[in-house]
Amino acid sequence: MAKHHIEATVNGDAVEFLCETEETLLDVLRDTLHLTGSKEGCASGDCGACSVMLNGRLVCSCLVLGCEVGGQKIETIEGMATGETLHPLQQQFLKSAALQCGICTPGFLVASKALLERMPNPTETEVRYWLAGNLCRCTGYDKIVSAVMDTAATMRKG
Amino acid sequence: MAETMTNGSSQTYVGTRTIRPDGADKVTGRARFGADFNLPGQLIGRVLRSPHPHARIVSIDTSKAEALPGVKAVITRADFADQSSEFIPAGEMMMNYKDVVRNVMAREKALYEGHAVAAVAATSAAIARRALKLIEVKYEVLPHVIDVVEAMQPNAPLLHDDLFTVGVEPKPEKPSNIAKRVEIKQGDVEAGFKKADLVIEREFKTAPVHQGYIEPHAALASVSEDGSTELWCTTQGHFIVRAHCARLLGLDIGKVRVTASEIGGGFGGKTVVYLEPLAIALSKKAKRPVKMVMSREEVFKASGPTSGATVRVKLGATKDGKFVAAFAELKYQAGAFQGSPVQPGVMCAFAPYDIEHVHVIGYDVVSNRPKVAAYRAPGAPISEYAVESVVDEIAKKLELDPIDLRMQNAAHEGTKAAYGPKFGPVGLEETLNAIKKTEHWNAPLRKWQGRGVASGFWFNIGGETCASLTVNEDGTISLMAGTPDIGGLRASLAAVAADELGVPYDKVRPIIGDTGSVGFNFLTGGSRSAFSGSMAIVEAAKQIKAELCARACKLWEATPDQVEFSGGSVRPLGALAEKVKPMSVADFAKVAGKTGGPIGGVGRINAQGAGPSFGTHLVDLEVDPETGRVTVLRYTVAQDAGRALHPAYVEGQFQGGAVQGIGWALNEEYIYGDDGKLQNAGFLDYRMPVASDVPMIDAILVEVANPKHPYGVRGVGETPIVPPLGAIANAMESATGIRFTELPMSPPKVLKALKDKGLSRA
Amino acid sequence: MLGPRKLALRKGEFLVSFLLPPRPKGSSDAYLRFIPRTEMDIAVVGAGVSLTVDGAGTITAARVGLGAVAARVLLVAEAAQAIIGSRLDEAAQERLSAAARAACRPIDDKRGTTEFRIDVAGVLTRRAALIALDRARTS
Repeated sequence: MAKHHIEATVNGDAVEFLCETEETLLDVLRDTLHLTGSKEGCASGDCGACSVMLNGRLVCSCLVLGCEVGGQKIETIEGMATGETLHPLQQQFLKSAALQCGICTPGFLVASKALLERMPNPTETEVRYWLAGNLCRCTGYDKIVSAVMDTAATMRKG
Repeated sequence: MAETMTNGSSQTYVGTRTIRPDGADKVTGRARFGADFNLPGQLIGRVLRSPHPHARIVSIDTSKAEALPGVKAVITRADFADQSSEFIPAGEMMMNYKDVVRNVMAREKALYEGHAVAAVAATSAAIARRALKLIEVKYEVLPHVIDVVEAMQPNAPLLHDDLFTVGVEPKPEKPSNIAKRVEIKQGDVEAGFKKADLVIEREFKTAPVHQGYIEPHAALASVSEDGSTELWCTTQGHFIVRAHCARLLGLDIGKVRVTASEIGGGFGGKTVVYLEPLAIALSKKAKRPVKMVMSREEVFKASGPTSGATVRVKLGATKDGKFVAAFAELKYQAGAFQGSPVQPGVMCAFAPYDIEHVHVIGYDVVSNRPKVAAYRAPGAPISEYAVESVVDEIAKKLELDPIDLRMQNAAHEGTKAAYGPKFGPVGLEETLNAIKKTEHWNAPLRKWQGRGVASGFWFNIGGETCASLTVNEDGTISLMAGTPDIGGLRASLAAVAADELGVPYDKVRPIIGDTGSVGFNFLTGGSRSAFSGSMAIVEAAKQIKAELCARACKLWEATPDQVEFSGGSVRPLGALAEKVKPMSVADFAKVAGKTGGPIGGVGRINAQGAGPSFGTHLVDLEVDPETGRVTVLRYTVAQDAGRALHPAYVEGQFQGGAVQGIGWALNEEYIYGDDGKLQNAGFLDYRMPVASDVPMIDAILVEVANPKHPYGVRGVGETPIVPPLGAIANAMESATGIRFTELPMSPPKVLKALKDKGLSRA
Repeated sequence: MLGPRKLALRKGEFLVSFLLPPRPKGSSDAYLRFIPRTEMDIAVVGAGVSLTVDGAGTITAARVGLGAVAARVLLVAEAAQAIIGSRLDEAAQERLSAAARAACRPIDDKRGTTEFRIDVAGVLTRRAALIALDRARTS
């Protein structure tokens, strides 16, 4: 079976790759484009460790096929910082100790960024329900939720 | 606060919320976890697993798989030499090499659905998957047994015909599924129960639950033609991995170099080997690097959950609430091979209480399920769920405040635990008091809401530890530890080193060394890495400080009593102070070559004196009487950390353990069909708490210094998962009037119980 | 839908549109699903109620749908009948729940027992109807 030839944009850069029909976007990001920041926790869309933005929409990259993203815009954790400056969420996660082992952190950061872009002033409940698709086994979510709410407050101050 | 401080150390960073040194990489996706490593020319390895829960493996024909283009190696039991029986510590549990070699690759029998039967390495994952389908295995399917009580019956299907129960007299002549009987005794419980005004006896049941780490097992092995082996893997103990792989594959330990990747959660489940020996064996055969990663389904089916169990508890008290006699019988599932955590379960069951007469019996029972692995305070959450439930019932029947009842019987300094040791200073009473003082304790509750409290304990361990400090030419410090960092270790150790040497925190650069770069370290487990690691760093710093003082004496032509190290510098004392100025660590670094050579210290210790950590949890929940659904409304943890090196990461341990306990109590369980196959091998139906399922977890740091540690530190990682099961069950009783003796308390069970009592209009 | 993974479409056929007639004034609906957690679970039971009330608050039309309690989604006419002509008083609610329960033919699996699904179907249908009624009154 011949591979598909795909052109897309990842974190602002034009990319070009070949993939099998059954390869997911997560497989392509990690194995072909060597962007290993997005993680595979379950390959079934249940843990959110593979969260990326696809055309401005939060998706599980394990549920998107590589051959589906031709001409589309993908944003991963690797594109979240601006040069040497961490995004306010990244900075707050570190300040608030909102990570322990860190495997779920890229997924949470991508998902939280998507949340704050839509809802700059979320309540604790809104934060929790938005992030319900991201599993964390280490933190019990407490410091993650605090970090997101504190960042929202910081970002609202401008 | 800890009274004991080390000589000449300032306390600037220890106890504060520093930014972790590995943080930037973790929030940008740069940090490399197990599956993030790749080597040029690597092959992909995959495992063929038994579809049967119990079967004799009659034959394995790998010829068609080997012939498939792209397949470079195939391995089976034939590629692993048999191992003689030898017990070794596996984290806080024990395992036997004879069992380990059979668990990583089935030999005579497949003993659980998912048991590894063969493995292939191929040029792509797709070819590897196709190759697995070409392997022909002839199974003779045998009857299986998965329930612990059924497995103990004399006519149950037998897993091992060479397993004879240890710990019973007379020695049994027939093999059975009961591997071991253990027992602890103190006083005379029969006499004790006669003195009791109230005796409560209850039986409880729990199901196996998985550690649930988000990162699946992963390993990448590369074997050279001269036999030297490099292995990258996600593990809690790379020295242990090295030892197991060397043993299973007949290699010199010195020829195996293991690098621990960043680890995406372990909780005890990554203290054993699964893929590592397979990856090495495949790489040796293929003469190329082999990368293996488990799928989530494989993680559930083929890596150890913790035991399911049946526990009977009998507790007697006087009408004033004094516990006089305590008995428990624990039956724990070990999975396919012996080695459940029944021993620590037995030890911890009544440990929070000072009871004169105690008798606890435990059984380690095999069954056709994956071999259990340690899960955070292995064994204790189960036994303490049962005990804390009965304690709660006693409080209710005697109309005593549940905290006061526990306080009255609390273990304290000088209490002799039934499992042996006498406690030094411990903080159970402090945690009970801390909970009683909270606003949470007194907040009002509405109908169908309930409040529960429970205490818990873990003994913690120390163990072999090597860590080094090196002073670089510019005065920065390289810190090398040898226990994988599962959540803040590097930050904690860097703070200790910075304070010990009086240097700024960001001038200390900690790394976790591979097995070739740092001396032997026991694994990250037993709540030991911060406790032991900091001890070793203090030792290393001591050496550096002594060395710098000696160099100062040479430079200043002084005697040792004329100099001292404090605040980051060697300082001249007395009259000498008028002649010379103090020299900092950085000053010495600049002239290191001229004053004796490189400056460094190594702490090589077998850390002793680990202090137990007690905790008390308080939870409010609400039950929907028409559906049985439970909402956790409020949760407070108070736990004794001895001394919190990094308060935020200690709080994090409290919160994470509490939420794992919430999942265990309410929704998590391994669900098997009668066919012995796992039905919920994924995160959809293995229901771990999500962010919207839990409230904020308030964490109260209690600090009763551990006098045996230079900073007063106690391990904290495991205790947090011990109280939640009892606390939540007690809150359920408070909300519904029903004592739930079976976990998880999932909605169908809760609704049925409510209906049976006529409490639901559903 | 004919059953799990079975559609009434023939080979080459596509669903291209759904036609939803506009609802009369005084209409609304509600859908509730039961999951053991708060998110990320497959519905153990799903109950949808759509209804219309007149100016006096009496239900003049209703449709009741149940999911995950049979091989396919059920449109339960008896449940709808149970509340048409009523103001969803206690007795009507009981009739509604009973009719919903009676229509269920659920499986027993890792997500819920047969008994549990039947019970919860009755509960959710009643709750969904109350929400729909509340919404309809203010629409």
